[in-house]
This record gives sequence, structure tokens and C-alpha cells, in this order.
Amino acid sequence: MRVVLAEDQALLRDGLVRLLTAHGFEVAVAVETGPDLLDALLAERPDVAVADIRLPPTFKNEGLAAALEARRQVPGLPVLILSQHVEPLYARELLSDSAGAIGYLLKDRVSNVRSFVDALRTVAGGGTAMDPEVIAQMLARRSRDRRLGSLTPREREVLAAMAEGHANAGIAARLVITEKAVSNHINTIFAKLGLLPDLDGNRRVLAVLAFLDAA
Amino acid sequence: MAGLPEAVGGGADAWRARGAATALAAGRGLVIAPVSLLAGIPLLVAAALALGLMPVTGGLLVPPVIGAVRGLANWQRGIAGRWSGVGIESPYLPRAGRGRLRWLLGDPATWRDLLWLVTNVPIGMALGLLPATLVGWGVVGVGSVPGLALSSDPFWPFGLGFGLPALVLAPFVGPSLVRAQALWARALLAPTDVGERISTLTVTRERVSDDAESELRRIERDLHDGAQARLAAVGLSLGMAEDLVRENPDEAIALLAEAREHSGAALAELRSLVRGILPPVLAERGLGDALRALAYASPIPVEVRSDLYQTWRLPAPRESALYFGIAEALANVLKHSGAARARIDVFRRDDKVVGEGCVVAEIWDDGVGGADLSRGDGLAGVRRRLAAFDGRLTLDSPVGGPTTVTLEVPCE
Repeated sequence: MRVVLAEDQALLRDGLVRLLTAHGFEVAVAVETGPDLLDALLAERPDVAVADIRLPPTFKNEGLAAALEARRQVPGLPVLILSQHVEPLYARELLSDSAGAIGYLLKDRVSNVRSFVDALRTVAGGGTAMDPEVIAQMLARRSRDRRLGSLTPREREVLAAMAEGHANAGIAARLVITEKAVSNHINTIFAKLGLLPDLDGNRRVLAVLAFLDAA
Repeated sequence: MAGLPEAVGGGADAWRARGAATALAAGRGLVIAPVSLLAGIPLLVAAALALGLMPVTGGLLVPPVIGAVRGLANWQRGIAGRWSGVGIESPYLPRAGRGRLRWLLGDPATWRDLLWLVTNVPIGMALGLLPATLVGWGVVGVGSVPGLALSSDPFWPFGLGFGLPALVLAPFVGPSLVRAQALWARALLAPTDVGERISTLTVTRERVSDDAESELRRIERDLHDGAQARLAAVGLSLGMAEDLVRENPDEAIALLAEAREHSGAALAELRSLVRGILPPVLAERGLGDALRALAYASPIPVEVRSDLYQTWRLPAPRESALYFGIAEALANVLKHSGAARARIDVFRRDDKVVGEGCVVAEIWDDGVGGADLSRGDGLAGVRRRLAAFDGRLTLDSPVGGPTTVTLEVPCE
């Protein structure tokens, strides 16, 4: 699996290259700036990109802007954003094209190597992986969306796990229920959120979007 | 307030009142005149000596002498207000951490006091003595007429000629002369615009540096007790794991996991600290999106309307003061108002209310109202912080609501 990496801090960049290589990824190119990232994404068309939000030259949200621009030109290009902080507003922007294949994680999640690699594979496979911190911030709010308010606590747990990027098997293991139960819950969630099977776009992504928008 | 009687057409009563006012003015003049001379001259001599001998005494005499001058000037301010209705604010700068001598000699008001003292010797004497002199002259002049006339002194018309005008004039000009002396005092003893401005700036600067100082202490404490301690624990766990890795790999793995947990907690603490100093969204996107993020995280619907453009941004310190002010106001809405919805309007206004064009933020909610700036220190802290930029905070919160908090920040 080919990866484009964008990280301006040399220590972390080298560490990430080592980690990715050790887990069977091929780092096609590792860049330092926002413009370089956009060029690399368009030229390399990697299976997945890993990018820091804040990059030179302005140290604002160059990485996010480059990723969004690349996805405008190459719809559904898988991008995992890493950041020192997570902001639900940014998560919402990343998911707004409903194409999925988006991840948004705190940089410290890298230290849990296995789950980081899982998240990266999920994103590369077209799934979404939102940081538990984003999920927690959204859950902490009283639900303003009536559709979301109609979910049972268990269904909300399943939706949160889905937003974090877990597959059905992972959700089942985490909540200690059967996979069959998980898929039943997910079908109920889709029904309650009005996400019909013939809908364009990834229903899991749309469910997560509904979750993020319930504010 | 002493002055002319109000009932001009009141016949005998009016004349009695006018007579009393005339006598009062004469009496007050007789206080002002000797004080001008007898306190003024010695104080001037003392001030000249204290300042002239500074190289010898090291300025030891200056503070008590200036203190006495200020005492006299304050007495003058007091009687100007009480006797003539001429209000004079105290112009002195707060000491604000400076040395006593630099504080006293660096204040323009000190030198204006001395100038007043010099000029007040003749002016206070003249304006003070005149009311009584007019009365006395008139009484003597007119009173002597019958005697002179009876003794067939040919000069009796002179007594009438000098005495009568003085007696007629005294009630009209006496109080005005006392007032004239007060007005002269105000010209020199009131704060100048510049003095007043310096005084405000000194006070706000003090408060801001106090706030900054306690903020630094808080950050230092948070780092010391939080992230630093956790990173030390990471090092400890790693060291022990290194020690154990060969003879007890399971224990070593447990320690490594512990180290990872500590580093995660340290990062989480650093993140929340950073958010309190400068929220990353604000740094990356500016005020508009930072407010949108704030609204996005709110449990009640918050509408953000901002015409602050992508291309133009307030200077960073003002922007973050405004952001934290709005965040504080919104937190109050969520905590106390019971509102079902809120709105944040941020716009640029180009009139001269605060400065050469300014940014205004209005935080409106449909809650119960009755908010009060004197309770709780959240909004008071915001007000202090804005004052550093000549910004303002106003609150409109009738009981029953709705509440609007308005923050204004000058652009330049």
C-alpha cells in the first residue's frame, strides 16, 4: 500500500516513516509543506495519505486545505489527517463531500500502533475513522437533532464506534455483543436516521455526518 | 451652593437674601486672601528650597513639601466646589510602582500646583479682599454723609459719590469675585485631558499586567504539576522497562504500556493548556471560524453572523481578547440564562464611538435576563481585558430577558 506523508517535524516524520514501513506500507514520498503535499497527492495518487493539519509556510491549516483541494480534484482520495488537536468543525468539513475515506485523529493516537494502523487501513478501504475525542465532544452535547434523540443509548454507542471507524466485528468485540446484533443495531440506526439503502454515498459516512451535525 | 438668591422679584426677602450672600462672599473673601498670602509664600519658599537643595539632600525634603502643597491645593478644590459650585477633580497620577520622587516630580499636576501657588498670591489677595472692601467702603462712605452734612463739611458729596456706588455694587460683584477666584484655581488645578488619559492608562496597564502575571503563574503551575510530572513518570517507566526487558518481559511490556498512557495524558493536558492560551482554530482560521466552532460545540443552537472577512483580521491580541470575551459571554448564557437559543453578531463599525472604526460583537440570548456585571467576575475580567485596548463591555439584561452583551474593540 502506497502512502504519501506530510509532516513538518523531522522527528515525527522519521518515526512515522519507520512505523509505516515496519507495517508493510510503502512511503512513496514524505513532504514538509502544504503546496508540496498537494503536488505529491496529485502526482502520486497514493492509496492513502497521512497529513498534519498545520504545515509550513503559514503554519495555519495548510494540510487540511491541501487535502480538501486534492479531494476536490480526485474525489474520494483517502486522507488521514493527524493533528495536535481535534476540532469537530474540521471533522465536519472533511466529511462534507460524503465520499468517505476520511480519517481525523489526534497525533498521540500514533502511539497505539495497532489501532493507528487499523485506522489507516480503514481509511484506505473507503471507511471513516474519527478520533474518540471528537466523538466525546459530540456526545457531551445535548442532542438537538430529533432523529438522533430517538436512538437508544446502545444505538448511540454503536454509532459512536462506527464513527471511530470500527467495522462490525470490532464493534461487536468492543460492546461484547454478537456481530448479528451489531448489524441489527446498524440497520435500526439507518432507518431512524432516514438513510435508505438506495441512497447515494456511503451510509456509514452519512450516519456519522448526521451524528456530527446533531448540534 | 452659595450665590445669588433665586427669588429676584421677592421684595424684602430677596433683598435680605442678597444681603446675606454679600456678607457671606465678604467673609469667604476674607478667608481666601490671608490663606493665599500666609500659606502661599512660606510654601513657595519651602518648595524653592526643597527643589534647590536636592543635590545636597537627595530630595529628602521634596515629598513633605509637595505633600503640603497638595494639601493646600486640595483645600482650594474643596472650597471651589462648596462655595462657588466650581467642581475640580483631583489630577494626580497614581503612583504605579514608581519611586516616590519620580512619581511626584514626573506628574505635571505637581508643577501646575506650584504655578497656581505663585499666581494665587496676588490673585487670591485681590479677589479675596475686594468683596469685603466694597462693603466696608460703602458703609463708611454712606455712613459718614449725615455727620459730614451736619458739620457743613463741603466734602460730604465725595462720601456719597464713593460710598454709594460701592454699596450698590457689592451685592452684585461680591459672590462673582469669589467665584472668579475659584475659576482661576480650576484653570490650573483641574486635570488636563492628557493628565486624565495618562491616569486611565496607568490604571488599566496595572490591571493588565496583574492579570498577565497571575495567568503566567497559572500556566507555570499547570505545567509543573501536570505535563512535566507526567513526562517524568514516562521516563521512569521506560527506565524500569529497559532494566526488566530481559529477565521479565511481561513486566516490561506492562511498564511500556504505562509509559504510553502517561505520555497520552501529558499531551491531553498540554492541549487543554494551549486551548486556554490561544485556541488552535483561532490561530488557524481567525475569529469567524473560531466562533463557528464555538457555536458548533454549544448544546443550544447558536447562530453566528460575522462579516469579518477572510482577508482582514484584527491585530492578534485584540482578536483573542474579543474571542475570549465572546466565549465567556456565551458560557454565561449556557450556565445562567436558561436560553433556548442565542446569536452572535460580529461586525465592523466605522463611526467614532470608540476609535477610528471598531469591531463590535453582540451576544444575544432569549433567556431570563437579570444578568448583573457586579456579580461574578467572568464578565468583569473581560471588561478589564478590553479596557487595555480602550475597548468596552456593555450589558443590557432586563429581568425577563432578552439579554444582549456588547463588546467593542477599536481597530487601530
